[in-house]
Amino acid sequence: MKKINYLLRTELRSRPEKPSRISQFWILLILFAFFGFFQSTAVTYGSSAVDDGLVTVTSNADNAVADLDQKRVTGVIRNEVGDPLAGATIQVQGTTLGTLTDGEGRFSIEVPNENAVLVISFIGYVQQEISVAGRNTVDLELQPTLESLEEVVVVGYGTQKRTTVTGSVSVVKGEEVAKVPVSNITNAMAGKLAGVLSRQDGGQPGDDNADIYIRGVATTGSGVPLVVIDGVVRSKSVYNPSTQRYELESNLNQIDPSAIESVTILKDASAVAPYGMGGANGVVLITTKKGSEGLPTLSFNAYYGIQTPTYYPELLDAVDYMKLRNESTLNENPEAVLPFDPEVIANYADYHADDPDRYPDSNTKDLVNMTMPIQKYDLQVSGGSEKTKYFASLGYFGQDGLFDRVNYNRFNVNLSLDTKVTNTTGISVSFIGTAEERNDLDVASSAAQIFRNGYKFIPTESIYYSNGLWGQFAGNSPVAVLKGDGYEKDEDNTVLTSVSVEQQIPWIQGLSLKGSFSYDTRLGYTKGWHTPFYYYVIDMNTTPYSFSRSISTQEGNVPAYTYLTQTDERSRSYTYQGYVNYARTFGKHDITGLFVAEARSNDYDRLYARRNNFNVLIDEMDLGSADKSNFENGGSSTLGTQIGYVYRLSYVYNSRYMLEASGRYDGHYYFAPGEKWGFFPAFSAGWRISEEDFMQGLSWLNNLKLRGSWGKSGNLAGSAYQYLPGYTLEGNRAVFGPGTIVQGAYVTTEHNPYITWEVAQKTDVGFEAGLWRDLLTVEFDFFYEKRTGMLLSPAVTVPYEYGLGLAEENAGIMENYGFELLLGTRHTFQNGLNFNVTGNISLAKNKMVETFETAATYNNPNRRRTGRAWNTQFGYRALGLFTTDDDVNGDGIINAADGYNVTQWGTLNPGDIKYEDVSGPDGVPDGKIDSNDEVVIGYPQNYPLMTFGINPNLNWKGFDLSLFFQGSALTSYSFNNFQTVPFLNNNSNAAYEYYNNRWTPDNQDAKYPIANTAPKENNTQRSTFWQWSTSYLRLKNAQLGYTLPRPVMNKLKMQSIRVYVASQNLFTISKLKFVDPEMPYDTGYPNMKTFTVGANVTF
Amino acid sequence: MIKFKTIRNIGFVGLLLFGLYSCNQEDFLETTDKSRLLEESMWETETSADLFLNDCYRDLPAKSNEPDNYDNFTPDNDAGFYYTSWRWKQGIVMASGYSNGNHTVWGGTNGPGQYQGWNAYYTKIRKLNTFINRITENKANFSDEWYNKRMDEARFLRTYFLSEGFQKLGGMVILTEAQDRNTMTEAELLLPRNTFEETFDFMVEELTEIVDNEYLPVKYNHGDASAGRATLGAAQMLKGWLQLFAASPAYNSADPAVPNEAGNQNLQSFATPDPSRWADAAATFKDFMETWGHLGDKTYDLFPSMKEFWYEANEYNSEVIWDKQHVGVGLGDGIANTFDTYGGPVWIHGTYYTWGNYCPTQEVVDEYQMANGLDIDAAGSGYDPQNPYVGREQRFYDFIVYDGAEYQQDWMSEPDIIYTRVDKVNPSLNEIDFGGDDVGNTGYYYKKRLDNLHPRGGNQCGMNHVYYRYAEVVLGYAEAQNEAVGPDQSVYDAVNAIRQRPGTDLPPLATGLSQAEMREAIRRERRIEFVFEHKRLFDLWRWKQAEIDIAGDLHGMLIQNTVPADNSGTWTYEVIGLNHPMTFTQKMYFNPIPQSAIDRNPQLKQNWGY
Repeated sequence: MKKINYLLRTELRSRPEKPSRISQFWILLILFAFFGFFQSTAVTYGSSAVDDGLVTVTSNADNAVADLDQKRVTGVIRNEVGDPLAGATIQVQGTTLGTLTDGEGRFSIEVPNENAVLVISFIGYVQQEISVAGRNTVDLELQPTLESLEEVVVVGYGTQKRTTVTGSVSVVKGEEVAKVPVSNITNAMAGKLAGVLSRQDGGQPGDDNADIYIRGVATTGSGVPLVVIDGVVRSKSVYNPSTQRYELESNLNQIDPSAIESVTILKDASAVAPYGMGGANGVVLITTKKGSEGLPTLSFNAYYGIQTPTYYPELLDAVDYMKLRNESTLNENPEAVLPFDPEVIANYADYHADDPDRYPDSNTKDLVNMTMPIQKYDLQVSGGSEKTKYFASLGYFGQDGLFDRVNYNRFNVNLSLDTKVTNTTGISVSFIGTAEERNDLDVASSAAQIFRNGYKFIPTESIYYSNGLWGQFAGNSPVAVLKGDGYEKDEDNTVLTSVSVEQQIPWIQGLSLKGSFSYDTRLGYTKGWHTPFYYYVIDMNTTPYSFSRSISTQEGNVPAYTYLTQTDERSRSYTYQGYVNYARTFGKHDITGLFVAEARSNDYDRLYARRNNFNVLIDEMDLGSADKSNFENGGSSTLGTQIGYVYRLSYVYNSRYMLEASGRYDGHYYFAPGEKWGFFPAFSAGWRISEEDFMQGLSWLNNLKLRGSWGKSGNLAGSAYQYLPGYTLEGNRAVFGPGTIVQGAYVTTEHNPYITWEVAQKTDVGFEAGLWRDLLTVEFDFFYEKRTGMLLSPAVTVPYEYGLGLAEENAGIMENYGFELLLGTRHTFQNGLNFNVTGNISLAKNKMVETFETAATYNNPNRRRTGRAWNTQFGYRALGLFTTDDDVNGDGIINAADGYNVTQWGTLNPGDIKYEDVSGPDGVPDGKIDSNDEVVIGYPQNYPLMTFGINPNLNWKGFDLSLFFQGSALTSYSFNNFQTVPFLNNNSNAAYEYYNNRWTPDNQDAKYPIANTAPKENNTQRSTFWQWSTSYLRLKNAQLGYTLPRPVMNKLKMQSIRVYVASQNLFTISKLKFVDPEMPYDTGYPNMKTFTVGANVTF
Repeated sequence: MIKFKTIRNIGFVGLLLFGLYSCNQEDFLETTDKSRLLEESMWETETSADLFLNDCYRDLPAKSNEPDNYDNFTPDNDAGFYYTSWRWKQGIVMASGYSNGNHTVWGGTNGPGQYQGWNAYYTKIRKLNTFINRITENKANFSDEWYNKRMDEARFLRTYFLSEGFQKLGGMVILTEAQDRNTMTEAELLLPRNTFEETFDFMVEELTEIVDNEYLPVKYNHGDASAGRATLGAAQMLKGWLQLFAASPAYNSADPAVPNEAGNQNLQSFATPDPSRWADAAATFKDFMETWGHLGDKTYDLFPSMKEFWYEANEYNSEVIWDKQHVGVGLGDGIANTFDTYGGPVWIHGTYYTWGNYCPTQEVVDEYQMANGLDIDAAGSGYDPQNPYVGREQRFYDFIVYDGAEYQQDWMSEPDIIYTRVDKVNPSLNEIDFGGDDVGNTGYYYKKRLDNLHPRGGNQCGMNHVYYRYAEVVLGYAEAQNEAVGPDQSVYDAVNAIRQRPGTDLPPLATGLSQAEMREAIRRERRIEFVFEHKRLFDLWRWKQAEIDIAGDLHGMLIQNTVPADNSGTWTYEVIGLNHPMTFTQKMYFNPIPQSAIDRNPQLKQNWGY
């Protein structure tokens, strides 16, 4: 790769005056060659696959830049108060010639001729164009963009001027999300965009997407937002039975963050109404980069870094482990035979040094690569003429996992071409192709499983023997999995394509028609290979010790035979859109109209095969056992369709008063005939008060806009065909005769012919303000949503004896409300230091207004679900730990003899958890801890109520520093797991978190209960004792960059070079010290902290 | 030129729009659900209707696949702390919590009946009621032969599921049709529990009718295409067992297991004790033996080898009455038997194969007599406490792995000797270690019911799980007859038939036993013969023995050398406590009705003591 760049650069340098000789055509060709080369021989960079001939291109008549009449123009660029602006861009219009101002705002540029026009721009300031005719110096004061009048934001099915948007939308530039070294943008959105809540639930390469919610969770059904990429819906909500949650399945994974132009979040009804049944949970709009007029700009971005887990458990070493085992044994029976000889413990270090195989001291952390590489490279080219614009990029992302062979690789190619075939006709073509490969360990295990195995391996057994062979504990051997030949490989090839034709109607000014067709396809291929896991058993009777190989079944769950699985999946979706667009200004009246007819369909099919018992270890299906009982196969297919008619009408008077109506009439295949269609209208209005005459006197307030909206949108929930009665047919249900396996049919639930979508009624009021010439900008929104028709099973209305799951009904009602506040400020000091800070805070709180619950919980105010937030946690109220003083009679047991008359669980001892007897069945304490004593014990699990982000940026003399803090509050988690409960699962190891904070007679006011040889029923109840606040503030991203000064660049004949160092998840402030508060459980694949160095080069 | 292009392009866009409009929208949105069968086609033919009943057979509990089995709830087994049985034996049992009740015998976090809780039973019963209703409505579509047979199969299965609940809970809600909330009133939906007697009578009547109908075959044999379906033998067996169960002192005495008082009136025992219920049980078993059994046409008979009874090759042998079929391909869900992932020696030839889940205790080991037919503590038995595994009866060697046992199964090329002793010189991986590893706490492992064909792991076992076998008819008769009449010759004959089965080869019982002595002999014989077959817990309950037996600590065997440095001394055998003390409270004779079930149906009365 380096070689190629070098060649390109050499070419540019050798003909500095004619950079344009690299024609568009050849650049595209190179990109294609490059891509093909990457795909076929991903590692043989050094080969001569790209020969010089491809790069040594010939001149093209289009690009005749005359080198006559050259002259030099110099000048100083200042801001509105006369301070010099460092880093302002000066560009010669229609060329790639350009420069930046230095620290004193000075610039110097060679222009080709007298007719040249300089374009001077700086972010946040109004762009100016100035002709150089007859002048050698250009001194300018730029005016800040109070409201950058021309700035447009992407909204549903179109764009709107920022100033006149009446809906609630958040926008972030693509470069902001591309800064963050993550594989996909879900992990770069939280805190950047007000109203977006995200939580990263694990860091396994290729499987580390954050869960995203917009404005909290407003439904008991699917709360995932809709993802729209380049105007086409490219996501769906999928129910995951193992997590019992709906998860977002979208093409966000396939989008290279560097190729993103902007990310827009649509939040209120007027913004989401055009998405009908898909909009209620908010919409994420991704726009990818397009070409822009001008000579080709070639840029190269790269970073390379290392990652390490944000948190990694500290497990006990052999000595502490043995001590704790002995202590827990004595806690239960002071006369018991100790499992470990105290003499051995006392001298363990010596014994270990002497004979590490007989006296091991294993640390499972040794199995993990604590520093793994992460890297990303992309090459982008864009440019075009007045008629044709193009953008193309190639990208590679690679991330290694905590174990060898666990990794993720992705190759991206993006092509976008816009061309005007006539003065009134435009054609756009775009192509996004992605090839992904995920690798995990043996199909019978997984990387995540190894973390569990780590807890399960005790330090007094050998992970590795001194001779390098590996051992086991209780038949488990994590090393055996790591050393095995098995794998699970997942390859996905995704192509997203769109073609559209737009036609202006010449005889009706402002009217245009557009037809668009998108075809997306994904081919998925998964292959899993299991070979038996082997470990070595030591025989200490021989001298030297001897070792024999044995098969591991990993807790008895893994077959001792080989097997191969293979799955092929294909999904395709087709989107047809017809647009009618109208936009015209009559004097002070601006009118726009939009009508879209859209039809979508997607189909999916899957074929699965498996074979067992391979006599030869070759991972090919045909080579498995010939015995048919070792065969298995399966398959399925689905087809889904949707039709929608979208409209948006807006009227703006004098840029002050805005009215808008939008909506969609939407039909979906999920529902019964006659029940398929819904209408989702929304209305909004805005008032730019600052434009009013009476406001002109207020110099401190330069912008104030009020806006409000109300409307309906929908949300699909449940699954397709819930309206149909039917019997599910499944294979492998029963066996008759001599082993004949038969199919069976059953009714899963009743059907409901009237099943329909959820309806969200959303209200939003907000304002945007700019104070002191935008020194301070404020944006505030208050929202209220009422979600009705949520699918609930009315199961509690019939007894269990009814024996059948009831059909879900559109019965649930939930309210969700909250606010978002954005503040921004910026200033440039005399010395050129420029800083800006943006911050946002979002709060979203929900309440179940209508849900089904039994009288037992409804009639108990402590336990009532109705009126509380969804997923509110209930449990017992812990009163702390019993102390030795509570054991009045000193018999070691706390019971009625000590004056304690409450029945908890089993025998109680000092150091056990004491619970409050809140209530009995009759509302009065009954001396018994049971479900009647439940109370609310924390915030809803899994989603924080409040999220915030603070994003300060500094620029000074070519240096830039950007920090991004992100956090969440009002959230808690019930944590009662390996790190806080010793010997949790059949004599597993314990962690120092517990060890250092456990109850002992000398530490009565302890954080954790007394040690027991096995988890004690009384101490593992769901209660306030185990509730942890998972609020945190995290430096999500920190970046320090340096842009090489202009003179150096001029010498290099390049546009710009920026180098930077960055870190992701550098530090976290949280009460929870031993696990990642974003991922507060300890058997998953941990989240990552990364350190990267990178460069952005523009030629 | 431009005009032409413009027109052409407008035409193109127009076509696109027109295309959208013109396609029939409803047709476009009408897609087919290919994952399900529709109501009409389901009951159209015998073949399709069979699919529904097939699924009801799937509902038969795969008791071998549950890591915590019923024997863990008895002093015969010591199991791990992560199981429900661990809490239950500490007396921790409550109605609240999970839909199955917290730490009840049939549920909790990992109980032996995770798929058999209150709601699970009624889901199964509803399916059978649906089947019965639908095939009745669509009778015209089926042949009489098919209809009669399937109807009786469905009725048998419904009774079987009901009986599983009955044994743990007492009176159940009897439902004979699928409830419909659209047409039924709340009063019709929220039904109270039927009494113990009503539930019992319903089941016995159903089974009697099935047997009298004679639509079902008496027995399926190995290789029969319908093996695995309900039979007359199964119906008669279940009837006899329920009669024996209900006649027992816990439910049929003036002083039942839990008080029969206001609040739980007659839900957990008969209103009126009646000793003649023993005679009913005896008659049923006698009828079985004399019609189809070893005293009749020998359709059912004792299988000659207890050791090989369980083997896959011997499925549907002469002794098997009612079982759940498994196949051992290791594919699909719930079709393979996973029992031997949990049981048996942990380490065989140095390889870890099982979880060492079930550890037979010293309590059960001591029950095995000497080969001469004498109890180990009887005078002249020849039992040597310092050499305890010599000269024991054959079933001990067939069912239990002990220190020094030679262990070989078909899949092993050579035998392994399993050592559970604490040996400093030649440490064994199976050495008793008091819970430090997966190896046993007690010094013993299971051998009974293990798959002989496959190594452990991977769940490849195809052995069926036998719920009832003919030996239970024989011993059931002996018990019922002894209680009803006393130890007559037929009682001796029955017990001796078991003791003298080929391969078991014990001397017959000593003659001249009193009724009480015979009772003890029969109870011991049941414990030995049916050990690890999930019978013991129900016996302890119905005999009101649980509070006596489920108390105090459990024991294992610690074997050490007197000179541990070089094993030059002698091996000493010491029975030691396991430090797992048990508590049984009176209410534990029954499970609680899950609180969540009562929350939904306030008509349900909770069992006594919960």
